Amino acid sequence: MDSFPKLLLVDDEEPFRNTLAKRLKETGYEVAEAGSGLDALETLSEGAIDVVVLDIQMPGMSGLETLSEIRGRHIGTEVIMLTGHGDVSSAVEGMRLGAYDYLMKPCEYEYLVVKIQEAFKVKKERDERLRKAEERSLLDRMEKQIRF
Amino acid sequence: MLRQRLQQTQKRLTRTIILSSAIPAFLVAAGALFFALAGAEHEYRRVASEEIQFHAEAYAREVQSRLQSALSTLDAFDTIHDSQNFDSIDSFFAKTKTAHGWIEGMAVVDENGTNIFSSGSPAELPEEALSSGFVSEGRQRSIVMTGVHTPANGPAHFFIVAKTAGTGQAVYLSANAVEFSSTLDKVRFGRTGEVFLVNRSGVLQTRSVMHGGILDVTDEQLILEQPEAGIIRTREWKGTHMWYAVTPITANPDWILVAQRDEREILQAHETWIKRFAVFGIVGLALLAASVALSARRTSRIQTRIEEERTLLADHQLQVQKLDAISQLGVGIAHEVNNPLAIIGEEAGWMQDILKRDALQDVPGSNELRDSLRQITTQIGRCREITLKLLSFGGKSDGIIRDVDINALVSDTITLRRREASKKNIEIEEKPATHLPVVHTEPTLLRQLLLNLINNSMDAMPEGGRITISTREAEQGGVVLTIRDTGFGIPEENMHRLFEPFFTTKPPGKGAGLGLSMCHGILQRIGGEIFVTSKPGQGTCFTVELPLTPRPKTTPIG
Repeated sequence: MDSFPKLLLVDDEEPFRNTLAKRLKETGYEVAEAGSGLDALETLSEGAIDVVVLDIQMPGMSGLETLSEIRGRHIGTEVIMLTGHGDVSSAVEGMRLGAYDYLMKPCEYEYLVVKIQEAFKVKKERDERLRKAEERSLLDRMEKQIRF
Repeated sequence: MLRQRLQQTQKRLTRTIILSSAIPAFLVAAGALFFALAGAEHEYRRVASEEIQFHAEAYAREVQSRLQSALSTLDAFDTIHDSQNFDSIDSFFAKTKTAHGWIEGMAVVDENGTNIFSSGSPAELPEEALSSGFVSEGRQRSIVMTGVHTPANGPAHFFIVAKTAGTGQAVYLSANAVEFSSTLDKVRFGRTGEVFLVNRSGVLQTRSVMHGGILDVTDEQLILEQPEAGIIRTREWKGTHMWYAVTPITANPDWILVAQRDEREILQAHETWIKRFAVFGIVGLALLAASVALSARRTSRIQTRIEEERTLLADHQLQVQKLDAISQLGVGIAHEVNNPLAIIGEEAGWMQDILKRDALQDVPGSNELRDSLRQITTQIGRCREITLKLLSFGGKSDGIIRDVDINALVSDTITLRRREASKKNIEIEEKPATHLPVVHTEPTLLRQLLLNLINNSMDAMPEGGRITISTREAEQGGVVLTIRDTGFGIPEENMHRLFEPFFTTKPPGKGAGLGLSMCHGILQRIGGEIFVTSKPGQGTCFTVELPLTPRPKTTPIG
């Protein structure tokens, strides 16, 4: 398994998104971009994304709505929220909906990278557990088949 | 100006109270008093009249029955008389005498007045009585009752004469008028109420307190052609007003029974009663007036206090509004600045990333560029700090007041900071009280308040430590929240400036000095107090007292 997760960067502010994507690519990540919640969901349905960096305040489908959609459809994907709000309540709401963490915007790049790595680690561990559980259930099934 | 207007309004209020409450009350009270007095007078007159009436009738009956029984005695005697048995007549009379003490004697006379037989000590029958006794001729028996006479010697008498049919004789009873009078003399009602008999010429037949002895002449107003019973009359006699009632005596058509009483006495009791009632009424009205005056004074005093409190409240509102306006402005600016700031930050970072490429490592001046970009990122960090604080200072409140379980809110908020804290080697401990009352407040603001205090504590413990957050119920209702840390504490000299905006002891760029003033602002909005105790080197303890319900929220103008 790769040590760099596949990222999806969701932000309606294009210059910010572009530059951050460039930097993340420079660091070594594979980065997909989406300018809205709907775009993000589309991208997610196309391919495997490990970590989503999601802006909360967006026109149209809001970050929190997008987040709940992601949690509903792609259970294996971790979400880090970016918030331009001083509004702690939406961050708390996000945490409750299952986001990995939240960062106040503008955030330090290094801090963001650390968070991404942490989230990825959590995801990897979970994937591993899931894989093992699957293997075990497969083995169980095979065992049963052999017995009969 | 304002004060004068206030005074005028107060005066108007007082006047209104007096006019609207006192005057109707006075009218009602005065009306009640008037009707009570009028009713009482009417009642007094009625009772007095009835009393007189009653006496007039009752004693007329008494007199009537006495005379009637005398007459029946005479009737009975008639049969005995025929037998010429004088002994039996004597014993009969003795029996009659015991029943009627006022009958002195009895005698049988012939037409010339010659005494044939007598029993007891009868007075001599006057000439005119004798003749009237023999007026009716024939077999028909007739009985005549005379008026009172006074013989030359001896007491006053009256006679009852009956002509015996066929014999040419008459029998008569001689009655002692003084004795007869004594029964009526005893009758008294009140001080001046009395009963007496007069004849049709107004001559007294019994004694009277007012008019004198037997055969004294009363006033001519008592000479009545047709004495009607059941009517109360009034008359004046020698300057005395009297109420009286008369009843004719059927046994002696010449006689009238009079019951009378002095008007002064009747009205005197009434007047005493009126006086008492008037005193009571006046005292009542005075009390009423006093209470109205008192209530007016009190109302105006309360009004003044309300006005003062309103002024205080308005000041307070103004301050809250000012704070609101400042924070709204701050939030607006911070919000607008934040996004460009994020872009600048990312662009600078990108430039730094490019400069890290191998090809650009040794380009002349690249180090200068690196220093410059580092400075830009540092300053962006500083700006970020401030805008974040400003954003939270505004406390983007949703204004929604809910029932909040403080323990749940505390653990929620701690969840937000636990990861950060553990990194700094800080342990956050919760000590929730059981059975905590539910607080009616704005959870968003309360969460920010708590978050600020936790951040402060974390900043005070660069070497790590422990934050203890406990809740408990306040004695006077409400909830007390304490945040205790084991940080470096607050020096004494800084204590009083703690909640001032932009007051900070952190080095420039590390803190905007908005955290605690924000907490103060939040408590201004949701109600509650914040206290701080600190021992330098040992730690700080913030205590937040929250009321169960929020302070009446001030509505912003516009």
